[in-house]
Amino acid sequence: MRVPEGSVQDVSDRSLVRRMLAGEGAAFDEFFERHFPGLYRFARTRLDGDADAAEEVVQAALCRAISKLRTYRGEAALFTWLCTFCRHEISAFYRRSSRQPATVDLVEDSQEVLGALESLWVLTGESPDEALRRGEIARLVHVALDRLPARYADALEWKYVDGASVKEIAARLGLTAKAAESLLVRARVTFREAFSTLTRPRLVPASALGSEAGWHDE
Amino acid sequence: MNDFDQGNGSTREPPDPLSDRIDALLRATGRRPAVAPDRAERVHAAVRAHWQAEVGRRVRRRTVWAAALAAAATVVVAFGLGAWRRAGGPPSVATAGRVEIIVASAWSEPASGGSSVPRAALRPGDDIEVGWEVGTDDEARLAVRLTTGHSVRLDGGTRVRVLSERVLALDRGAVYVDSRGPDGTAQEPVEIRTRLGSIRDTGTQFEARLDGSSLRVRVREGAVFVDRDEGRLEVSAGLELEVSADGRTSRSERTAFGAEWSWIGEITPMMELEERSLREFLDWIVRERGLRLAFETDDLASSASGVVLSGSIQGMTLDQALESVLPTCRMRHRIDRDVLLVGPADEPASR
Repeated sequence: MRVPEGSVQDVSDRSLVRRMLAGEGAAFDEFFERHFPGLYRFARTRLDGDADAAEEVVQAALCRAISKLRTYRGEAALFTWLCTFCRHEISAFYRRSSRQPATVDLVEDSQEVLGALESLWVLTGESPDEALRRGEIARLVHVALDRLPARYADALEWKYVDGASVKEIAARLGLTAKAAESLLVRARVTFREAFSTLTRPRLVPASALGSEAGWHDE
Repeated sequence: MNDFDQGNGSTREPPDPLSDRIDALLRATGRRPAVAPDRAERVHAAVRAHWQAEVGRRVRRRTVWAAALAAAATVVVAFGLGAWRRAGGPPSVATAGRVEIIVASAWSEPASGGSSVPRAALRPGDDIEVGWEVGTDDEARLAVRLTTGHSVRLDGGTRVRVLSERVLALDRGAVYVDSRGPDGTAQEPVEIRTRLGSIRDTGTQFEARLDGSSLRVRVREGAVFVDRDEGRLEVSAGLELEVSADGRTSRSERTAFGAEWSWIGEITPMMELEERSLREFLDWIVRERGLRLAFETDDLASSASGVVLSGSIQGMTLDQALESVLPTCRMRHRIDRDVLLVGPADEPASR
């Protein structure tokens, strides 16, 4: 997911990297808190659910990325940049362990798979198995949330999963209620764009989300 | 969930279809799965140490550059030193342990790659750092004392990555773990990860050996847990669990002594004898050898507790230590299968 040049996320990522390069401990902690959970989920999905392997791979990926931190130019979101190191370490892990990568093709990884799924769907006129589809939708929602700025993702989860009020969200983020409401509006729009990118090939049927056309058109 | 301000109920969001759909979607899917706190803590510590080391290297490079410029301009070098002091010198790196004994040669290098730091030969007293890989040559041995108190010994041809102070990844070869440190049994368990399963100690002595086709976990004392995708297995003292590459497991009985364990004796860190009783020394010896202790007489057994030792056995093997200590206490020993039998020294022949 490419970040629009000069976006809030872009500036925030570059600023965070600058602070880390300057040796600011709080910046490292912010970096870790912001990106480790998402990277761990990213790796674990691609390591057949192996939690130990995911921990090992993400640790190695973060160390590698930190060694190359000076080369980060903000052309992609920091999380996306970190994912490239993670992919590399996942490949190295499979080579080292002589294990075969799990035959899990992820929607966000492969255009071919997207096309195949779409064709299958059209051909059979049926949706894939409901449980699998529901699981895949949940995973894609989580992937989309991981790609958002942390405050956006947190605010959406607090509001829609935990049922927190805007006032509570404002307090947690140290904002006024008005600012929190604005942040929620931006978070919803950004989430919609991220999720739509992941689900554009109609892996997720319109019925699951209301009209897909409506989803994109809003 | 469209209430804007539920605190006073006076302000409400305008109807927002997008909000309703996201509401339904996120409610249906729930929170993102959280990462177990212990995992996050381990990775945080390891990555932070790496980041500190990288920052430290940058600080040093900057300092050297500043000093060079200053020298060229014949300006005082103190500027460079000042910069060094302001930066507080190189930040510390998380240390997982310290090298105690090396037989032949062992080395360490950054495990994550992408670093300009070359492989370095290890020496006794060197720190073992989180994020590094440690290895032994084929005929070498290495003994490390972890900060948790565990003694970890590497057989020849072993490669281990140090993931944190208490998590090691065994990529090949064999490690032996003894949870008893110089100050008693380590409180924090250690974990040895392999591609065929993770071994967690529960206060014990065990060996994990990984070759191309299988993982063998042999327990000498106590018990360990072996965690695999298929579930958890417990292996207790006197047993060996073998996990094959295709996931099959088998168990067999193993003695706690004998040739299979002999490589460990070659790199046993020696006990500090000063002010310790003979009984403590003998208990330590039999534990290290996987033996049982017996005395030829009850009097001898009770006197062993009253004899206080002095001197040093550093640099000796276990056998050499026995041969050195017992005669000074007017005792002798013999090993009969799994028993170390201690008796009175033979009286010198009368003339």
